Amino acid sequence: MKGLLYKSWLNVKPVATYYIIFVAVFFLVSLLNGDPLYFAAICVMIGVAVPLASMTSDDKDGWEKFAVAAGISRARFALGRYLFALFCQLPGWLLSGLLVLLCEDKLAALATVLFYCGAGLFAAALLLPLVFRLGVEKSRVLLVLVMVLVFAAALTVGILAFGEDALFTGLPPFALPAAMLAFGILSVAVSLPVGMHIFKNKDL
Amino acid sequence: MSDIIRIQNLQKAYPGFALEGVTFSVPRGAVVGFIGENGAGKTTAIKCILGLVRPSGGGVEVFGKDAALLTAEERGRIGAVLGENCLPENLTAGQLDRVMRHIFPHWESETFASFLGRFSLPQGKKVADFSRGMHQKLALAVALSHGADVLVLDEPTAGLDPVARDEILELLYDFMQEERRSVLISSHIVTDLEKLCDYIAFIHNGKLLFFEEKDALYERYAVVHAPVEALQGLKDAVVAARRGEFGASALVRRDKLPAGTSAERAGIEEIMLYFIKGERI
Repeated sequence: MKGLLYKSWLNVKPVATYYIIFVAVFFLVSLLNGDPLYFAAICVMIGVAVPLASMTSDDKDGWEKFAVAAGISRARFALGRYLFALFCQLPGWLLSGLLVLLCEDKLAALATVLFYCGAGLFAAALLLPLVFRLGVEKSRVLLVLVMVLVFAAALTVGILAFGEDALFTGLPPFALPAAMLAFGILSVAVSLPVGMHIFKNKDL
Repeated sequence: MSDIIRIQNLQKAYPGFALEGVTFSVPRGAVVGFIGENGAGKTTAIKCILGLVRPSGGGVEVFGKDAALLTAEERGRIGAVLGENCLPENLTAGQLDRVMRHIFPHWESETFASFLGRFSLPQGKKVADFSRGMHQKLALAVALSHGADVLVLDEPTAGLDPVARDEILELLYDFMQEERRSVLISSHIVTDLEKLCDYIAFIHNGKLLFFEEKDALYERYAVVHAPVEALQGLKDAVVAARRGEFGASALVRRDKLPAGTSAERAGIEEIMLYFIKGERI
């Protein structure tokens, strides 16, 4: 597993600086606005884009074939993909936590962050089985479309729920963020065996 | 002699192509050349051996065990080169070493470094910047650096100049110095296989046409150049014939050739061409 994760990291290492600068800009925007919304939303996109870039590189190299021929079980390989996707979200969660601490309205900020953590998990859970099923190249357009839709939906719901004229004022605090987070966790729990099953039966 | 790899009635169906009942083996201590045209089914059969493709029927045994049930440890005893672009292009040889350390249970960094030195492959250069020959040498260096007992090589010399091909063949000779080791190698360059192989497995349109000891093929077949009428007189011996501008020639079975008939030695490439392009007379 360590080898798979290290290889995934090496795939994106050359462009990591660009991602970091991109994320830093949005972190600053959120910090100056006192609202983690922008940063948390962009983390959903980055959390999908980075594993996707890594898988594109692996696809080009025939890494799946090499790893399976080398004795990495298909289940382990698929699990490695999920773990890397989660690792890509982890820095976003940690920095979002930091933003929460720095925001004036900490509870509202926490609600926003939890909501987008759920959205990020859902995006990863949706994308990985798609990649396993269709391959990165074939599904690229579909993946971008899914990414944009998830990002747009998450942003819209976020603004509606937590923006200045929030719609869901009658809801108990944290109802929507908690629901989204639970939905994200549930979708990963469902996606993992589905993704493993697809990869197990895939001809490489 | 026990078999390291045994392929029994292997079948795999794709739209427009099917591997049908392929049966052959790779005996311990032997080099088996796997020949056939592009799209004949060589890569599919090799992928079945390596567990990359699930057969539709039949089976593959490696080290006496169903290939699908091999442990990571056992898979690590198979060194594979999977045609072109089988290594991460964005990594350097040094990074590759660090990745492989965590991929193979018995990765030997020192052996790998010695191969890099032997082939003058730079540690710090990206694989993408390697020439085709360097790339294939690196792929072989990886395959030979984790204690493999058998090499499964899909077109390892494709696109290489004669010098690079010779270096790779030399490496395979060295690997075969230990009698317990075996090699299955597919290649279009039949002359390379002729130098190296003990057995030849010939596949055409998804079907195995023959699996024979190389020397037995030389003993069995010969080429006769003669007018078509004369070849018709050798009908029992003729396996396949080809007509040219200046007459005809035929692949014949030596044992059925009338005594005194002049015949030339048939090379593996000629045998392959007659089987594919020859006609009955």
